[in-house]
Amino acid sequence: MEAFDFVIVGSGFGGSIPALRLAQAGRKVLVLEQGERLTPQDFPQDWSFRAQARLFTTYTSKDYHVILRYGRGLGGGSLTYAAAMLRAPSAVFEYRDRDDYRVWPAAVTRSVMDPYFAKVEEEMTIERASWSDVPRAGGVFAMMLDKMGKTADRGMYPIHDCMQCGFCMCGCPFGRKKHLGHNYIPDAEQKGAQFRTECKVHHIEKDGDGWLVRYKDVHGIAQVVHGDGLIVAAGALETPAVLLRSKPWLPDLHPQVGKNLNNNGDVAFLFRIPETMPATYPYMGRNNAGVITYAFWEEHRITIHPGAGPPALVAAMDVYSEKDGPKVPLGYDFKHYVRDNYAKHLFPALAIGLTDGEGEVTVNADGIVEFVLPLNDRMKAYIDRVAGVGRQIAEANGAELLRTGGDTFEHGDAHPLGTCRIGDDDSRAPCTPDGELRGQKNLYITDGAAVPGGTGVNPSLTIAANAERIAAHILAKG
Amino acid sequence: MDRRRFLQTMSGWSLGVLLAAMEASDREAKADGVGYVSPGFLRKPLPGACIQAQTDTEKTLAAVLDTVVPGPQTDPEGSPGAVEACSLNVLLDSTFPFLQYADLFAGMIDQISNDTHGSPFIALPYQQRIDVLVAAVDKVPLLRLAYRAIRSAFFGGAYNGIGLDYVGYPGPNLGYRSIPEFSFRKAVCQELTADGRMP
Ligand SMILES: Cc1cc2nc3c(=O)[nH]c(=O)nc-3n(C[C@H](O)[C@H](O)[C@H](O)COP(=O)(O)OP(=O)(O)OC[C@H]3O[C@@H](n4cnc5c(N)ncnc54)[C@H](O)[C@@H]3O)c2cc1C
Ligand code: SF4
Repeated sequence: MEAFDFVIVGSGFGGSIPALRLAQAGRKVLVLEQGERLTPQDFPQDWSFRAQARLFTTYTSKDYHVILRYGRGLGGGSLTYAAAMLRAPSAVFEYRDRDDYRVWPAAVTRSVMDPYFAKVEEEMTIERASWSDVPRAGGVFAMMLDKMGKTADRGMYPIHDCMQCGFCMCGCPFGRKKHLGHNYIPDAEQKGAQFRTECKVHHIEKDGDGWLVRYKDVHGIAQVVHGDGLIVAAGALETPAVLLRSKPWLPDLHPQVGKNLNNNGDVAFLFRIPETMPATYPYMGRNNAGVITYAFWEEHRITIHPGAGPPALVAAMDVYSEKDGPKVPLGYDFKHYVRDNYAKHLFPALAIGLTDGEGEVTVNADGIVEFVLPLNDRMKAYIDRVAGVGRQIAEANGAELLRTGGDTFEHGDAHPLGTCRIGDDDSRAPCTPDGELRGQKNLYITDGAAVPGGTGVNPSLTIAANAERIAAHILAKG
Repeated sequence: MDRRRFLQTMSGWSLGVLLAAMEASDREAKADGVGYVSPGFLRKPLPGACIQAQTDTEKTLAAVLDTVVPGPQTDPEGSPGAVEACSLNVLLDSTFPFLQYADLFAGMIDQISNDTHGSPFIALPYQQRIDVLVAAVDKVPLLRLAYRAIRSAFFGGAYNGIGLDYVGYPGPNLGYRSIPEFSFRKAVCQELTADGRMP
């Protein structure tokens, strides 16, 4: 049987970053990735279901209210994300949940994380957008805040010389968005790490102090490899699934695995701006529309950023005007509304904020991910807070806040976290502060599943920095 | 080569070839200072295009499509809708979760329709169809997703560009950065942070 010092499941931020650091330290590393090795030619400017199905795995919550998806391929979500990479504000690390439990470990503060943020920023060449890189939708949003005397900051991206074609979430066909396949992965390969694509891990088993990893290879043939150490970094939806599928071999699996699913407090909504304001042209420019406002952070622990994208981004959601009340968007009125407003007067926005992770990922009888994200009173109160802020911005500008979702806002579909979280409390957090799965020696979680709560901003930089931090700890341990 | 001719030439080529040529065309655009326009080459209907409704279930589903995003039969403006955008293909695509429920959905919608209006869905006028579809969501939550999929297929250009053209979405393009309207290109708001990193 093939044996490695470390086997890593998943090649997103949580997988590729430790792969590089371990390989640099001379460890023999194998990364198993279920997706394909994709090149810019595999990223057509195509929003169709077929094209998207190749790039993303999508799940719907058990009650069909929430959709969550993740990017699949060598490089994970970095291939098809919108590439906003922002440092989580200090208050994120101090967040306490409804039981006054400090969600992040006490030893992991913003100042502890800063050197790891800096490392990722350097490796991925993250820089601040210039105002000339801010698409119209972002500019209009910033103007709306300016009118209220509030601030909006240009975002940070690993994007250089952007063509502003508006297809980041199909992957960048021009190679201007630097995903992990431009930095961590080739660097790790150069140091000897192996990346095997189209290899889907089914489950893991203990093997002495090490681990057996059972997967199906690119030909669908069952394979097994040994790792003295194991990192599961299959993303916040699939990491718990790998572990839960392994339960027959891990009867002592921590009972919190899969729990605490947090959608990063994502709430999607839209603004319809008055005809007197400059047109939004949401089809032009990068999908994360260049700016974010921190102006409501101190008071509400909410950030908001505008988006840009195809008509489906606004029309596929269950959009309704607050003044009409919840409504199923059907019929020619809605069709005409989208036509009359999409290109000039609409843009989507995403609020991100701090909430308790009250969802759960489980697996069904076939071992496939299922999840719930309950819309309880706490979540409703949070959504009302977001709506209040959105309304404030809209009203100050003679604009209209359009809500999404059937009887509430729509959660964003992109930022699941926390399903195998690190933490100080043995009973609440499956992982130690340094990412080791409690009760399972030499098994680490380094992806979005390990990030214990909302990040206040788009989460990838925090996931990446936390993976750097845990990798440093693994190496320090020897 | 001028831009129009370039795009005409490109429209017959494969995407891979186009992408390979983009670097060169980018330099050309910079040099001539002309903004990019959409080649529109991905707008052609795919081979096999729209599935035609044959069975009773398919006919009911086609009527559902024509209610969610009405086409020329129903929209007083006569513009195309979900049927023309081949959205039936989505509901009947075996890789999506609806196919297994197609009979169930159609049966359910007909039942609500019969119970509330005394006729099958397909025989109802537009406004009553809307009422039935709204009522059906409360009974079958998954229908909300089916409606979303139908809208996505139309507004997202799943099978052809009819919905995209209708909304005025240019689709595939070589980048908008040279187009004056793309950005205000100046600070339009105060910033809270000096370096983009929130403390
Ligand atoms: C459309 C979209 C836009 C986004 N935009 C942004 C943004 O602008 N900024 C931001 O910060 N975040 C963004 N995100 C979120 C970001 O992509 C994720 O938070 C991030 O990628 C998560 O990193 P990860 O390492 O936890 O997992 P992932 O990046 O999801 O990597 C997990 C990898 O594991 C693989 N895998 C899963 N199961 C198995 C298995 N059983 N065997 C082998 N391999 C497996 C997957 O294929 C995947 O490649 C976006 C997400 C989406 C969907
Ligand atoms: S907008 Fe920029 S980063 Fe996004 S896909 Fe186009 S060129 Fe790439």
